[in-house]
Amino acid sequence: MKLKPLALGLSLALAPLSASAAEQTVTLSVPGMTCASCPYIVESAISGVEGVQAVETSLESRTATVTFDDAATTVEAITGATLNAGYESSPIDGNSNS
Amino acid sequence: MTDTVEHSASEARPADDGKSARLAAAGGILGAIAASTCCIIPLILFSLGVSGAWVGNLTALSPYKPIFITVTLGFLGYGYWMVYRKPKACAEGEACARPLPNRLVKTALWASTVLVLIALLWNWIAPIVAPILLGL
Repeated sequence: MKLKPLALGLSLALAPLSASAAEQTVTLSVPGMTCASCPYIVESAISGVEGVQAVETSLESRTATVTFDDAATTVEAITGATLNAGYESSPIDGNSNS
Repeated sequence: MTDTVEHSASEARPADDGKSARLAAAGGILGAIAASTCCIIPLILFSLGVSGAWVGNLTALSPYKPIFITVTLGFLGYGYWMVYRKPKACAEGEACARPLPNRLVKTALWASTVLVLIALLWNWIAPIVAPILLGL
């Protein structure tokens, strides 16, 4: 896993406690994200998870792309957070494991 | 949320009219709430910190939103027609002697109108309201 210096600096700045921070990106399918306010709820729910660095949601493709620190959280924790907010989600790509 | 008060109204015509106006108002309120369950209520719940997988049952209603809105508009149209059409019954009936139910019905009609309008225009309202409520 190679990290760009900028991303490394960012993840170090955001998570100074975890020494071996590895940034990961996962794209989640959120089929229930059908209304205008849904992406905001999903985004807010995901960014509430400790270790999540960036979230981008798409209403058109009903997906959420999450960048997170895998030393601080897991994909399961993120999908759990969306489920708790009322939206089931599951990873699309095989990029959930490093 | 059924009819709470059913005072033995033995009047013939005005009571009938009042009853159907109340029914229309109740239908309008219920329809407006149903129309907002999928999208508006989850946002409010989430911004209040209420969460749980059961909220998914609310968001799952989103495909039925147009149906709820249509039904609600039907109830509201009927309700407004009952309440605001020519008030000829005043001269003889007792509808005027009991202004309270009428005011309640009007309030219910206007409240559900506002609610259903919000639901109808949600695509434009949400991008403004949601970031504020969620602090994004």
